[in-house]
Amino acid sequence: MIGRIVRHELRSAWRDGRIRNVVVLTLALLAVAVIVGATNVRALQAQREEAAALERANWLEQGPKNPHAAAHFGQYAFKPISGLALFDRGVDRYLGSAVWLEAHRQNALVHRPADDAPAVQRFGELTAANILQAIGPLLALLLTFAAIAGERERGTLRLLVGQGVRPQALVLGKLVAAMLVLAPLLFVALLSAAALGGWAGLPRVGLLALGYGLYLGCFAALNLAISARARSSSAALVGSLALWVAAVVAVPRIASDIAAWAYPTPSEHDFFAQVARDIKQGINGHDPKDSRTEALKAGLLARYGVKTVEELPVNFAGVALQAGEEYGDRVYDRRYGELHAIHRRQADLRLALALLSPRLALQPLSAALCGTNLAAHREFAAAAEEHRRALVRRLNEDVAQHPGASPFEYLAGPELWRELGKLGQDDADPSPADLRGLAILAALFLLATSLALASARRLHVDP
Amino acid sequence: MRPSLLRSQLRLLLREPTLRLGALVLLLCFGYALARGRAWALADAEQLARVQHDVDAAVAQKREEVADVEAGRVRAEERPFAGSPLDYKVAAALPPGPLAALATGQRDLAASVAEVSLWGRSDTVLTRQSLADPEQLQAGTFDAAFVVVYLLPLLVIGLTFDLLAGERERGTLRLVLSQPISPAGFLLAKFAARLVVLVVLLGLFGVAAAVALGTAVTVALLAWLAVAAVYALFWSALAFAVNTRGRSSTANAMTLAGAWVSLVLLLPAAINTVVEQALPLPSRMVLVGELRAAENRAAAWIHDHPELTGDDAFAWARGYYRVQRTIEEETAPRFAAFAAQLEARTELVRASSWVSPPVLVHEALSELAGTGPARHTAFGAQVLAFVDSLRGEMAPRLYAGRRLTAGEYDALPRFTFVEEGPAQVAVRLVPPLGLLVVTSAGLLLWGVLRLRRGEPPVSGPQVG
Repeated sequence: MIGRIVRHELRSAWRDGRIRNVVVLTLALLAVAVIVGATNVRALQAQREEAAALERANWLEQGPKNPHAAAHFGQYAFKPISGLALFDRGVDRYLGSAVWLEAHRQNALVHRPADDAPAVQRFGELTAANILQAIGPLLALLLTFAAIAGERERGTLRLLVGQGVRPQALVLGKLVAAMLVLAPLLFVALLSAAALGGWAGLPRVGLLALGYGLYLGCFAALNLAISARARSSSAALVGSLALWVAAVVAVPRIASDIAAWAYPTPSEHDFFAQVARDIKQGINGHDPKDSRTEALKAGLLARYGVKTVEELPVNFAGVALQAGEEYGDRVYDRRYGELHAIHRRQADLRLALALLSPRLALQPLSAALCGTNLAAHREFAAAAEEHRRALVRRLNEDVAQHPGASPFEYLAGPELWRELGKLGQDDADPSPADLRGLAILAALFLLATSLALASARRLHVDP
Repeated sequence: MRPSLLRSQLRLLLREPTLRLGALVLLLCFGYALARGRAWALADAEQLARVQHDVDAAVAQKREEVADVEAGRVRAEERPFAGSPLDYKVAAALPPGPLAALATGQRDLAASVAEVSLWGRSDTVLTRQSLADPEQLQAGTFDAAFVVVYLLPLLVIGLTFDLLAGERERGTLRLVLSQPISPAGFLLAKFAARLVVLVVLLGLFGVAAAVALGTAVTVALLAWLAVAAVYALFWSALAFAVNTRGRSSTANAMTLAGAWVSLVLLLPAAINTVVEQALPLPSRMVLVGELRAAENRAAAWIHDHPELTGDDAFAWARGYYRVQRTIEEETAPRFAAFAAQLEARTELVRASSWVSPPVLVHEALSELAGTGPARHTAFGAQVLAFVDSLRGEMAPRLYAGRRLTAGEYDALPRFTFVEEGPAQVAVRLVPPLGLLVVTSAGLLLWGVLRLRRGEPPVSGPQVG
């Protein structure tokens, strides 16, 4: 029975010129988006490689200098861009792309692509993900809004039910048919993205297909529920459009706004001022930097049984620098930890609000699978920070190993610069993505389908 | 169109549940946006005050250090760097615009405060180590400008998609037209009634905004509301024209929804894509590498010229300062190319806003609120000019090894943002907005002419 309904629906969808036009238009948009995305990602990857090679040469060619001066020169690390970014840029545009790894400071990444983009970018980007997230539900709407209400208006609903078609089967058949019309869009977009991205992310593409399928299914099922209950197909259209506007356009904004309201992010001035205070006065506020240095000096003098720092077998400046570095690391770990906790709570709140809009569940899921979310960014930042700490430690040790009359007169050369590698994590496997969004989408899809079936059970066959 | 007709249409409209619900939702959205925008603008102003305070406190402390040496409370040898010209710092702030609460604009993205001193380079003054939640930035804020640009047209569409078709489908159109009323006059009365309601809603919002912001109804606020009204006029005129095509109300709703999606979602995204593809920017990452290569060369050069740094307490500072200026000189052409491309992008977006009402109106609402791209660009340029003047003042001292005296600290330059004149803003915004009004009038005229010719709209495909 359902099979026959599905076949009939597919035939009439194919005959509907409006649906055909919109499908073709959406496919064209997706093609443009994927090609533009692939071009951009390739360009960014090439630029990153060029910059990384340049930076490596800069580090090696810095000439003889004291290792601590080299630590101040530091290194720049450039964030890699994932292959699947051509499908979904996620929040990557609003995150920095380069970080200065220098002595004393754990810098945040700078140069967000959004910084240099015109203000019109705030209307959204033409990526395959955005098209599927915004236009996909509209297509689902076009396929389903009149599915029941239209049959009722034309009188064919009474006919169908009279022939013994169960309303639930009718709704289910129409849902399956709508999904089958939408499926090629998903597969074309995702497979072309996977192919251009080099097939490496195929399992993730599978999960993306599932996520987007459930997302579009939610809208199709909800529209069917509306269509079953609406007085007329025109009323069903208005209801479905209102749902689309709320779920796709309005709620994601309100949710972000509420999340930022509930858990405000500190400004960079306040954050870095707090870090500076912590380092100067001690994390607890009662352990100032000067007394920490004095204690370190006293301990070292006692350990080597000498009276002055000049008599020490190590360069005290190097030891003090490293101690200061480690204290700074503790401060940064704590303050960045607090910041990340705020971001996490914001994300959790937005995910909780996904009950009001499946887009709030799909957006983070899609970005996570494409490696363009905050977690992927943070993974790079953490690797860069680990590299910075190792780099600065090695340079401080080199200072400490060279005692002399004046603490910084010793100069190191290219051998040491060569010994200190660059950050390499391109070949690292991406960490498992956060799949909570997928579970929420599955739950929402089941909920929407049961709503549609419930509406079918109490179906009025006459207008 | 007779006034009595307008009055009766207004009465009918006010009884419509769509209007009541739609107006309620719109006003709730406006209210939420206004409350959040106000809180946000206040927090923003507090933040600027805090940066200002912290920077002033840091400079006051430096001044004290000099005063101590001058008064003989501390020996000069103990504070070799006291009064160093490198230590003078100014917080250059872009004050929140008068209506910042109404439109976030670029304010959550671009820097609105910079700590300016002789340290660093021009390219780093406005570079942000942003900690902002990227998802919030991507989603955008739920501000009043969003309500106008995105949601207001939807209310317009909801109120106007079945002006004729609804009457026809209910079978009341024939009855109406059997009276001595022309179809055009009838439809214009309905149109005018809706426009009156929309303007009243915007007016209510304006009053609420004036109360919430604690200002009088200013020219800027009136201009802001006028831009929103022009936008509402455009959408109403578009809906009017669609109505005169005589299709069913479902077809009208679909056409208008399609227009909304195309104009508000797709066209701006397409403009964005075209701008980025047609005018690609030089890579920031590669630029970083080039800056650092220049730094290596400049450091080697200054190392070979010890006579340029001297051997007093400021030797290191002098060397550092010269190295930074050398890097700037060497990389200036790269940054000039970057800036030229940015400028070309701005021009292209501005040109495209002539054909994209949402982009135009969004920019106009931001500009009038004082959060628009032009004001932020002007701020950036003024900060860089200020940096130059500060260097002009300080560099000779640094080179001569002349310390700042406590008295001099008080007379050093401070940054004040110079606002663009309202005339310049008007010159930029009025012509494209004028075109929008003309387009709206054209759409109305087209519809009226169609009705005059008695084309399908009146009889329609499915007369009830």
